[in-house]
Amino acid sequence: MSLDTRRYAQDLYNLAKEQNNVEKYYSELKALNDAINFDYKLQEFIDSTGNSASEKKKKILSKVDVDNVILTAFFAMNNAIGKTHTEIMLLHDFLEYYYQLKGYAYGIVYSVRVLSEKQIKDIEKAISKQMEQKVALENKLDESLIGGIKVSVNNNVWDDSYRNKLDELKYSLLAEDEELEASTGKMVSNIKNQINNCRNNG
Amino acid sequence: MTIETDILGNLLPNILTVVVQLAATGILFFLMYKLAWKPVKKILDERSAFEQERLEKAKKIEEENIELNAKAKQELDQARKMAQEAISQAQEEAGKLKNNLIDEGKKEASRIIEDAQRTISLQKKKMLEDMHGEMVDVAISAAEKMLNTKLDSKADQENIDKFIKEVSKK
Repeated sequence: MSLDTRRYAQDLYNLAKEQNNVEKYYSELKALNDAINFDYKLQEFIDSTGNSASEKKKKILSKVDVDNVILTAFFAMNNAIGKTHTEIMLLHDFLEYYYQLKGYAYGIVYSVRVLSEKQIKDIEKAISKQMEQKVALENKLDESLIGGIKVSVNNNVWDDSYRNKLDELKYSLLAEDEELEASTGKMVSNIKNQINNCRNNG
Repeated sequence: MTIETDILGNLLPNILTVVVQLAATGILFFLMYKLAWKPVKKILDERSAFEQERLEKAKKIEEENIELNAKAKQELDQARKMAQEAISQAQEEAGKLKNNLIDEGKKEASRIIEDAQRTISLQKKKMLEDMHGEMVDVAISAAEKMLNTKLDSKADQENIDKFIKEVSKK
């Protein structure tokens, strides 16, 4: 995230704090963030430079049950940044700042399907154990993963997606310096194993 | 008889005439000796000396010629020897040059063959790698399509649970 959006996210938090309404801002903006994360079309609309702030606001209100005052404050802060399509970054930075103040490391768990609250909690718990720090995660959809999940917290990444597995398989096959027939045989064998694993899991 | 006396008289020389003749001859010799002998002798001596000198000069020239001829012959022999040596050296150098050229030619040919073999080997390797890469891409693409088709929500859920368990263990 950029330094600009981070600074304005802090300003937005301070505004919520002045209004003594931090939790309300958090819950409303988290709901908005989740809605954008789980709706590709809405995400595309919000991230488009061709749509004005009022159009984006109108679109959000039509799709998400969010407090109009908080949404107005959010867009006002976003306009203050003076750059285009910074809404998603501002949302993320606000939530990250919110969790940072609570002592959490904030990250993103990417998945093909929307994860349940329980799944997110379980992942947060597992990652917290790994990092030895409390972790809060937001869920973002990413169809390119094919399956599985990818967790990114600060500079740490846990990639258990099928995309990553296929990429690793591809690199390992390409890295092999063997005769074509031998490597092809191994490649076919690897793919068969992968497909068998997939069948067993599925 | 008289005729015989006259003939005899005519046949025998006249003493006076002989004496006069001898005197005249003596005078003539005396005069010749006094007047002509010394200059003639001087001329003859000079001529003799001149001829002697010429003779000596000719002899000296002949000796010089002989010496020069000998020297020329010696020089010619030396020149022939040097020329022979030069020819031998040139032939030797030409031989060496020829051998060097042959060696260099062989080396160059060998290098060209090695380069060609290396190029062929690299091209072959690249071709194999390209083929390999394409086969991998095709296989990965096929696997991806299969996963997209086969992987349902339940399988994904199990994968996520498995991930959570693995991460929790570490």
